[in-house]
Order: sequence, then C-alpha cells, then structure tokens
Amino acid sequence: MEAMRNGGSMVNEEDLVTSEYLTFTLGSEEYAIDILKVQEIRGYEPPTLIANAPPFIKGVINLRGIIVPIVDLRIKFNLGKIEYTPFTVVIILNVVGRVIGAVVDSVSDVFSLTRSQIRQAPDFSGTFDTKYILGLATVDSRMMIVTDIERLMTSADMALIDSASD
Amino acid sequence: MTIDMSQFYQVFFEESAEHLASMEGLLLELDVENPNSEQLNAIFRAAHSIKGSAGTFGFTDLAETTHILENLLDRIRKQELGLRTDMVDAFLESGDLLREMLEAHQGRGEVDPKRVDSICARLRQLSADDATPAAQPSCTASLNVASVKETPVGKRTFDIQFVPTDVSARGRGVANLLDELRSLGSLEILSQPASDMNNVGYWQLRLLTVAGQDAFSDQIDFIAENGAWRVVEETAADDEGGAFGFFGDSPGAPVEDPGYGFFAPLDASTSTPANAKATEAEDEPYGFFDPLPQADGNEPAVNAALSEDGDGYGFFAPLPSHAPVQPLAEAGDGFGLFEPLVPTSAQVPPVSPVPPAGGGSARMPAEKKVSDVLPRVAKSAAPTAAAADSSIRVSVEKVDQLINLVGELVITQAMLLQTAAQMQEGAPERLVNGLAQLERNTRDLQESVMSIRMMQISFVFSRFPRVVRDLSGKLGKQVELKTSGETTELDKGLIERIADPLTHLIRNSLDHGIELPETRIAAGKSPVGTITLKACHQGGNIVIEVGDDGAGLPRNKILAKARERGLPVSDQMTDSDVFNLIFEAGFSTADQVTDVSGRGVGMDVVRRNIQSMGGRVEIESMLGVGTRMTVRLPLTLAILDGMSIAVGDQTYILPLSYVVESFQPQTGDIKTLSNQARVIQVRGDYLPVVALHELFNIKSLSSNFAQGIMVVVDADGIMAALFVDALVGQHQVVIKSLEANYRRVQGISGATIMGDGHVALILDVSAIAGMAKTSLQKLADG
Repeated sequence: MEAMRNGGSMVNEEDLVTSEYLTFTLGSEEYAIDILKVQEIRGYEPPTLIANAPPFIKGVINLRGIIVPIVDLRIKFNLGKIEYTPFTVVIILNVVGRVIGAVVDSVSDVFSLTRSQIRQAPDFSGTFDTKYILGLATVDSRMMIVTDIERLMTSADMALIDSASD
Repeated sequence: MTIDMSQFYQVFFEESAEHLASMEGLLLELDVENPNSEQLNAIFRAAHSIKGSAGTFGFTDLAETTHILENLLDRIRKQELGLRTDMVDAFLESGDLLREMLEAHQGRGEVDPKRVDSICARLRQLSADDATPAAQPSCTASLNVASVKETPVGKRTFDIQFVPTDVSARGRGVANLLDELRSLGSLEILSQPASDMNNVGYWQLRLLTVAGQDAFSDQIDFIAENGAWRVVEETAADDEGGAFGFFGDSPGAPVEDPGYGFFAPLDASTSTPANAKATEAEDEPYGFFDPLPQADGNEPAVNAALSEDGDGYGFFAPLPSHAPVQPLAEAGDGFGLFEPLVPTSAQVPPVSPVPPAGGGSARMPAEKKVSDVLPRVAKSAAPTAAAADSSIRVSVEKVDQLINLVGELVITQAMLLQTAAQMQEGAPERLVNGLAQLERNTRDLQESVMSIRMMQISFVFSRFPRVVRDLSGKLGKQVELKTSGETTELDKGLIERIADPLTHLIRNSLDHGIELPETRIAAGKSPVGTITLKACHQGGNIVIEVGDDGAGLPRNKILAKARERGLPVSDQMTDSDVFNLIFEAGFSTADQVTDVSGRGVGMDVVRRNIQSMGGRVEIESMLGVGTRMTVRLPLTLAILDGMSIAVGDQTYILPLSYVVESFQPQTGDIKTLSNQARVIQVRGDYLPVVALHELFNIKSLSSNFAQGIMVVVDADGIMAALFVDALVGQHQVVIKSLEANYRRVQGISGATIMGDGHVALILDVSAIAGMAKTSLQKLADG
C-alpha cells in the first residue's frame, strides 16, 4: 500500500529490496543466479552415465543418498573449456522441488542487487535464450547476466524433466 | 462455538473403514443356523461404533443408516429375532452402502439416495417381520412396545460414559458415584476398566432412572477426567414407527425432532454442564423429573433445572473388551434380571501404578474441548485392551522416511567398510571389528524398519469371502473359499496393489473355473467347488496361489481362439505357453460376456500389474481337475535382489528375478538376421541378442562376443539374451527413483547407490526385452 501511494516519487519501494545473487563464470561470461536456489557448491566427481542422454547431461551422482542429475552448462552453452579437474565446480540447485547439479567454470562472488540495478537486457540472439535472462547488472564494472535459473533448468531444451511445461 | 472436526475426519474414515471390514468379516463367518453370540455382539459393536463416530462428526446419512442396521442387529443378538440368510445379505449390502457413503464423504463417488432408502426400508422390513412374536412381554431380555409406551415418561435410560481421574478412581470416587447412581435407579455397568486397572480407564454405564440427567451429571463431571465424560439419554425411536419401539437400548434414533437432532450432540459435547443447560432449555422439557435427593453427601448434590437433555446419542464405541456387553436390560420389566455385576465398589484398591492407555490418552488433551477429547477417548478405548496398549497409528510417510534414512545408513556403512578394506596398511583390528559390528547392527536395523511396513496378507484375503459369496450367488454356483497363510507378511505398498489383481483372479476362477453344481455332479465331483487362496514365503519371494477345482483351462479352445485372433500359435506349444495366451490383451474364451468376466480385459491387466510390482504369474491347469494361478512377488518394493553387471566402465543392476542363466558365447553362436539384428540359439530357441553397450552407447571392453557374457533374461515370457562385459556380483540394492530429480530413461527402471557411493542404474528388463522383440519382429515382418 505504501509503495503504491509513493508511486510518484523517485524510488519505488520494491526497487530497494535487495536480493542476493551467486555469480559464476562460463568461459568469459559471468552469470548471476538467485542464491536462494542454490543448495550447495561441491567439487566435481565422475557421474554415472545415463544412456542416450544429451551430451550436456553428464549423468547422475549420489548426493547423500539422493540421485542428482548433473548438467554441464559449459557444454550446453558451448562456453569455456570443457575439462574436469579437481577444481571443477558443481552448483547444486534446488529448483521446483528438484535437486539438480550444474557444472560451471568457477564460482566467483555473492552480490546484493536491488531490482533497479538490474537492467533490461537487449534482445540478442545467441546460445542463451533471452527468455531465461532477467536482465543485466553491473557491479564494479563487471557485467553480469542475471539468469532465471529455475526457468532455465525446467525448460524443455534442458531435457531434465519429463513433461516440461515450457 | 464451532470446533474444527475435520482434523479428526481422517481418523474417523480409517476407523470406520476398519469397523466395516471387521463387520463384514464377522458376518461372513457367521453361522446362520446357530449364530455365535460373541460374533453377533462384535458385529453389533462395529455398527455401533460407526454410528457413534458418524454422529459425532456430523455424517447424518451414515449415522442414520447404521442406526437402523444396529437396531436390527441388536434384536438379533438379543435373540428377539432369528438370524436368517436374507438378513446377512441385507447387512452385507448395507455395509457396502456405508462404505460408499464413507467414500462419498471423502470426495470419491456418490451415493444414490434411492439405494439408501431401499436398504433402510429393507432393514426395517426385516426388523418388522418378526416383531409380533418378539413383542411378547414374557420375552426375557426384551422389552415390548407396550412397556416402552407405558414408561416413557416415568423412566429414562441414560448412557453414561466417563474416564475417571486417577485420584478419584483410586480413591472412593468411582465407587461413590456408582452407589449414588444405583440409588437413583437401576444401574448397569456396560463396560469398565479391567480389574487390575483400579477403576482407571473407560467406563460405560446404563442408568434407568426417573431422575433427570442433572441429578447425577455433576457428580460425573467431578469424578471424570477433565471433560472426558458424556451422558446421553437413550430414546426409543418412536418416530420410526411401532416396530422400532422396543429398541429401548439402542442409543438414539435418527429422528427429525429438533431436540433429538443427530448433530446436536456436537454442541452438547462441547458444552460444559453449565452451558449444556442452555441447550437443554431448547429441548422439549418433559418436566417432572425431580432430581432425587439421594445424592451422596460427599458429592456435590445438584439441583439443576429440570430440563431435558434429549440430545446426544451414544458416541462411544461400546467397549468390546472389559465387561462383556450384557444383553442389555431394557427400561422396564427386564432389568431385574440383569442386575449387573456389582463388583466395582468392591474393587477400589487405593493405588494404581500404571495408568491405562485409555485414561492416559484422555488426559493428554485435557485442556481441549470435550469434543476434541471424545474421539480420542473413543479411539483408545475402542480396541481391546491389549491392542490399545500395543499398537500406534503412524503415517506411512514417517515410516518411509525412516526406511530411507536407514537405507542411507546402510550405504554409508558399506562405504566405510570398503574404505577400510582399501586402506594401505590394512585397517587396525579394532576398526575392522567395529565396522563388522556396525554392519550387523545396520542390517538388523534395516530389517526391523522394513518390517514396520509389513502387513499381513489377511488384510487382502479378508475381502475375498465376500467376493466369493456374492459372485457364487449371482452365478448360481456353490463355492467354498479356503484360505491359508493369511499371516504371511507383505510390504504395505504391495498389499495395496495386489488386491485388484487377486480379486480378478478369483473372479476368473469363479466364473470360468468352477462349474455349475449340475455339471460338477455330472463330472463326478462334489457340487460345492473349492477355491483355495494360499500365501507363503518362498526364498525372497511371496507366493500367492489362487487355485480352483473347476474345469481347468481348455487348451484346444485357447489355441483355436488364438488362431482366430491371428496370434502365432502351434499345436506343439507347451501347456504353459498356451495358458499364457490368456494374458494377452483382449483374449477371452468365454462364450458369452457376463458382468463378471469374459470381456477379455483383465488378465492382461493382471499380468501388467503384477509385473509392475516386480512379480510374475504362472498358470498350471489340468482339464477337468482345476487351475492354479501362482503369483510371485518380491517381499518389498524398496529393496531388490540384483546382479551387478559391468558394461564398459559402467555398472548396471539386473533384477535377479529376471535372470534365467548366463553363459559365455562362442563367436559362431551369434547369427544375424538381414545383417542387422542378432540372435543366439539357446537350448533350441533363438533369442534376440541385446548388446547393452550398443543400447547405452558405451564403449565395450570386449571386442567380440566371445569375450563377454550372455545373460538370458525372461521378462514374463519375453526372452532375450543381454550381452555384457562381465558379471560383477550379487547384491540387495535399495531402489531409488531416478524420476525424483531427473526423468524417465528408457531401459532404466531406477537407480541405486553402490557400496562405493557411486550410482548404478537398474535395468528395466521388460522394456529392454520388449524392445529387442519388437525390433526383431519388425525385421521379420519387413
């Protein structure tokens, strides 16, 4: 209610709400995802292959008794060098009640961003479908691609979920 | 004030369903010629319990129907009416109706009001049929209409239920109350705590008195655990018509009279005695019941307004245990005969070290409203004393969670063990010993936890006497059902899923197997056919057999039918192959379609259901002698006996139940069809070869077939040879879902975690064999 009444003023109250974002790199690009979707970060371990799965699905691992599929975002978006070292990082995500692991090049920071800091991304056609991009944010002159990781992971082209609604 | 009763609904539904099931079981066991009074009482109690809780929870339709049912049952158990087969039929039918009502209340299905009316009318009719002979005043335990009519204003019957506090129970409190109630009129103790309970526990009394409720309700309130008491006036169901007049003891009738409204009890039960008066005031006061002055000095005597508390009917399950429910003495002449056991005042020993369950659970929600307490009291009090003490109701999710956690523990333990074994210099002895101990303990723990989910198969078997009875009646056949091994335990998940296939098999046996009595006699058999239902453990499996001594499967007819349908058959096929044809979709040899079976749907569904549980069905049959269907099921859905196989650098689990044999092939054994599909000859049969490394796109370690191993699998008739690199070992594996976080993968039925912490996928043998078969068929057709 307050926000609506002050709607005419410079700052919208909503814009002041900060959310924390985890950033990771894929090649030279830096992505930010809502930290609340992140369950944990762990090292890469060779997963069990799944037959006839798309190449970016590396397989499944045992995460304390839960079977978790591992997606290599580097392969999916054709970014970065695809190699698996002890330093390769897996972000364990918790989206739509599922646990999914995502392989990235590295995890860099956690930032607080307000809504106003996130700018609308220009319409670009690339490997990364714009519908998964919430916007672009600049912190310390680094541009970050703020990603709707939930939407991305549940999308049909990730082939992670049987009947993707997307 | 409304209290949200919905939280108790689930309990009510479950309990009522159980009562209905036990009622049905008892009815079927009942010997119509010479009914056992224990059984009759038990049936009555089941009906009464349903009525009571239905009333409490506001399910009028249930309460009304059960009431009529109960009335009739009550008369039968008091031998006013003779039991007849048509009554049993009517009871069974009303049981069905009640079950439907329950389901309707749970949002499944609907109940046809016409049916309700017709069944109610039928029950009434049955009750009225013999009303005249029963209404003899000389009848010992019964009361005739006249006597009720004579006494309605004079004496009233109250159903009193309470759970005394520890203090009053151990002291003189209960004894004083009983004395006092006796001074008011004739008191009958319907149920009391076991004698070693020192009066602590659930009491049910019946008081026949000229006094009003107020004359004693405060005493009861004083004695009873906070709010855990109830006084209900029992009313003759006058409005139901004369025939019902004599059920003086049946607590309450579903009458439209506002004062007697079935749901008023809700209010009444929530109200303390004080505001109960408000309710009472609305009732039609009968007026002239002077509270009797005999109230004991040490109890707060009450001179409350002389109002009538007409509402409220027996909400308590009559206790099946403690005091066997007396053939209840009616208001009026009968009661002298049944001057009930007067033991209670004698047995008021001072200390009771162990508060019984009934009292305990009543105490727990003591701060809550009465209505909150009532279902609990009723619940804990209803089962027999032993059962109340030794079982608890736990949600399946909790158990499953426990099973999962123990599964994790087993995996962790296996990991530790493996790590210790791989230690460079060998693990210290104490560590090894400790780990061995841990292994034993975790195994034991796993077994005990798994056993929580185990239920006796009687849970399923118990429904079949009814099925057989109904169907044999409908088909004009005489069938006896023999069951054995009802105590065999099976995972709850399986129990639920096996019921339908088994029902189908039994219907099939009845319809197609057992012949009509004339035919049987002509064949030199006893006119009464027998269906045997047997369950037992065999190795790691549960074996359930459905057998009949009927006509047997007509091999020629099946073959002819199969040809008609264009199935590939030959006269050389083995019997079991021929019989397995009846599992084909749409296959039926029935000459005519009945509403029992014959449409040809069913057997394929049976097989599919059983397969999906990891089980299989086998048929043995001999023409003219009978048929036996054997269902084999794994003990549980959560654990699987598997063989681990290596393909490339991956390990897969092959469910052991599918594995027939394995052998090392010679290079020349494998032949190709059209240079595409491969087959191998095993004992004369050509089986399709599935090279798993090709199927799963893995680089195989074996460069040719001679280096690997062929595993012959039999997925319910579909045989295939799987080519793998090596057999690794045999394990019991905990099945994990792959779909929880990922999706279905073709050819994979699930995953498990191996001892080293790695994930191994479990092969879906049926799917793989099916794929092999279809690809081969396509090739053959093309």
